[in-house]
Amino acid sequence: MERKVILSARDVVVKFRVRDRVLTAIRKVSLDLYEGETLAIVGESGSGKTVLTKTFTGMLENNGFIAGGKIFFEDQDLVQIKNNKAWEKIRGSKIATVFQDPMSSLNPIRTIGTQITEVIIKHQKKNRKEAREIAIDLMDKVGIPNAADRFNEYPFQYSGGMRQRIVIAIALACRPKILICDEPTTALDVTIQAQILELIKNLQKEFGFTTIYITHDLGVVANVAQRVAVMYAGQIVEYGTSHEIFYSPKHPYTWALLSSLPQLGIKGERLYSIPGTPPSLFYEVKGDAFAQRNPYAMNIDFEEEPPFFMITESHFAKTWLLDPRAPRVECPKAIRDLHATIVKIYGKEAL
Amino acid sequence: MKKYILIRVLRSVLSILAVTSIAYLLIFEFVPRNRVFENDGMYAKISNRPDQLPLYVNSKFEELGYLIYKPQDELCRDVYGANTADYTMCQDTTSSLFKSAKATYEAKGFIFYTIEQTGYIYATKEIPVLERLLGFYSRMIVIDHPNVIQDEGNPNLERKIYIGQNWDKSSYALMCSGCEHKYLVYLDWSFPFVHQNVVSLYFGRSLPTFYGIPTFQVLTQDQGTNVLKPVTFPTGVVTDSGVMEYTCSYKSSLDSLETTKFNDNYANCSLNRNAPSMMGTSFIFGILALIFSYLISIPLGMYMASHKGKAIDKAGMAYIVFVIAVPALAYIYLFRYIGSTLFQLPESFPSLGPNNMLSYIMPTISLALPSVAGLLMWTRRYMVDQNTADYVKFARSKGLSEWQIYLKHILRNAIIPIAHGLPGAIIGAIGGAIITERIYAIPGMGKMLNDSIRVFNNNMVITLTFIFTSLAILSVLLGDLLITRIDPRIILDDKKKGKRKNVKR
Repeated sequence: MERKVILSARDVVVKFRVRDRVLTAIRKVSLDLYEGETLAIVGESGSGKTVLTKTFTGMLENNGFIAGGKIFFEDQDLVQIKNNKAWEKIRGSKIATVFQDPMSSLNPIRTIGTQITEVIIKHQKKNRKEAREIAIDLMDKVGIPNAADRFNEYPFQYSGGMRQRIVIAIALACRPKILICDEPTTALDVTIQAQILELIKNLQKEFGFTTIYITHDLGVVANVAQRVAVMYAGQIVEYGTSHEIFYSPKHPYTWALLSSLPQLGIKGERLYSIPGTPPSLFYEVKGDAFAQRNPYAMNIDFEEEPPFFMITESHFAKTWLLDPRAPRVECPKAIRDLHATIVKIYGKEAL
Repeated sequence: MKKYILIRVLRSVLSILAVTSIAYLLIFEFVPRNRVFENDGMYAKISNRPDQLPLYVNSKFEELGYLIYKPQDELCRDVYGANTADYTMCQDTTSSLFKSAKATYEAKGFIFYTIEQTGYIYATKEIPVLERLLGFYSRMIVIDHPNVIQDEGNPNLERKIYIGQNWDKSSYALMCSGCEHKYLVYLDWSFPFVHQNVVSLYFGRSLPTFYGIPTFQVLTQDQGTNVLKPVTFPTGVVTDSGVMEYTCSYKSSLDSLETTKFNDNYANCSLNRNAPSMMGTSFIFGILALIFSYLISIPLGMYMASHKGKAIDKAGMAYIVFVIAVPALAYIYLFRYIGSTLFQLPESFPSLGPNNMLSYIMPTISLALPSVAGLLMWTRRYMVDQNTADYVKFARSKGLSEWQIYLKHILRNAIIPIAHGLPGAIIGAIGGAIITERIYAIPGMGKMLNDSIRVFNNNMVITLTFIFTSLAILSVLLGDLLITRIDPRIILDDKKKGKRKNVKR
């Protein structure tokens, strides 16, 4: 299967200056994004999911900087872009972002209409009237009833789900190549969540963009993603197709993450949670970052950082357990039973 | 919304009345009334004349509204009428006629006094302070109408309202005969172009400074020296004069010079002077300082916010801390010193006068300084605050330029609280003028308040209290109305029920 790589990150290192100290948020991450696919990046808070995608649009906070690596997009190394003018040509028009909270993503005192049209006017050089038509058409597409009437309303007159639809409309206004959805449904209630995910899926079919989902909701991942990358402590520790990640995960961290799914909880027993905390990124991490919390950790995990081991053509994991010299470790029973459990809960093949 | 505004206006009026009443009661109840004479030259002159002093003191007290004062002859006139035989006989205090008049007045609560040296008799009656307050309000709004003038010497005065021409026949006006003013509504080239004399405010007369002139007139009449220009009088006489025809009001008897110029009794005219009124002066400074401070602090605040932590930001913060920490009096003197030594700007307003632009520079800067500091601090703070807002992040991810983000997204949100304070800032500028006007000797309301308190010009203090209070309360209301224009989320309403239309799920 020969697919075109649309964005490719190589050994990206991102550091932050925090009160005279330097924190390494992303530690040599490499990632390929294929055209038209949906990639989910999962991991706990602080694992660097958002920071990684921010480097694609140059949206790192002022105290953050890319300390190394390359990000190729359209024959250009995004790491080399230093000025805002150049970024403005990419942001919104080629790579767009949908943020977590639709309640605060829109400017409360400007009309919905102007917030959509301003990006069309900026990137597509349309005049106000043409932009208005495009905007109303977009509002229709994202499922706003009476779009023309609601064009001049303000965000406070919209519900949360409607606002997220508008945010998606704005993000897609210039037909970007890549849509980064940074926890797009976290702030919404469950029924709306499904609608929004469905909407993005349908729009993706229509417009043909590539989607990156950032989430810690594995339910979302199961619903939408073709590929999943699991991040821990500033690194991708395992990636593969969603089927592979859900049904034959190899990294102990992925096991732990999946075991924490509330759906796997058994009535009367405590829900599983990963013991301990992630390592401090102010110091250099020695060995495998997950070793401290890993019940399967071996001596080498504390000494040397594991390389990526290939499991299948699409499935890689960064753990010494896959080394031929390592003892054979069975993954936890709950994970092995995951497929059956999911079928039992949802009554169908969820993946 | 309309109902809400109406209620707010009514509440504002009530608040103004409450503040003014409190000021009135405080001043007239607790300030010893004799202190009015402390700066009175006349009082000093007759203070060793016990036969005249009580008469003068009581007539003053009557003017100030403390009491009703009836000297002997007025008493007789009131009871028997002027120039009657009974009136003449009544002047003899031993007569039965006087005794019966005295009895009548004693029944009304008057207390009688006799001046030992002359045997002259007068009566006074205290007016309770609440009654005085009611009287103050009942006289406050004066409406001019054709039956206002009751002049016994001019029984044939015509009573009508008509449309007529002004003296040089260049414009038409709504005019009146029998009213206090000749011109009721007129047009001219000064702001706001249409003027009226129908409704006016009366707060009592100014004493002892600006003796006998109604306080409101003291504040609104032009100051400075007369400006003469050729005037065509109603009789056709043309002379150089400072008379402003639209201000003319009724005068019962004209002197010989006036009869050559005027063909009716409306000969009591104000004179054209070369300096704006006290109120005008204060407003000029207030507005100048306001424009100056907003023009400086909003762009500078924006710049500081976008260069947070850089040198310009730190310099701005240093300035803010300086102005907030150092007392106003100290830095106003400091800036005045810098202005006069380095730039040769006048140290006081009157030295070059109101018609020289240089006179305005230092006072305006002094007046604007504190508001620049406050505004700068808040603009910067709101901008920095908004800068990290989610919608700004989203706007940036849309690919908008920093300039667009600043103007269209951050500034508009940051400006809401600033706009809310805008009308208040106008008041601040005028209120702050109390210090600035005094230091630069600017003849405005702020200095007048200061002077009035010093010489116990009580009516003037109350007038100024009323004006400042009205402006302050009005500014709060205007501020609230202004933000509803800027922020669509704010809807003024008393109750929360269902006024937010169009909210659909």
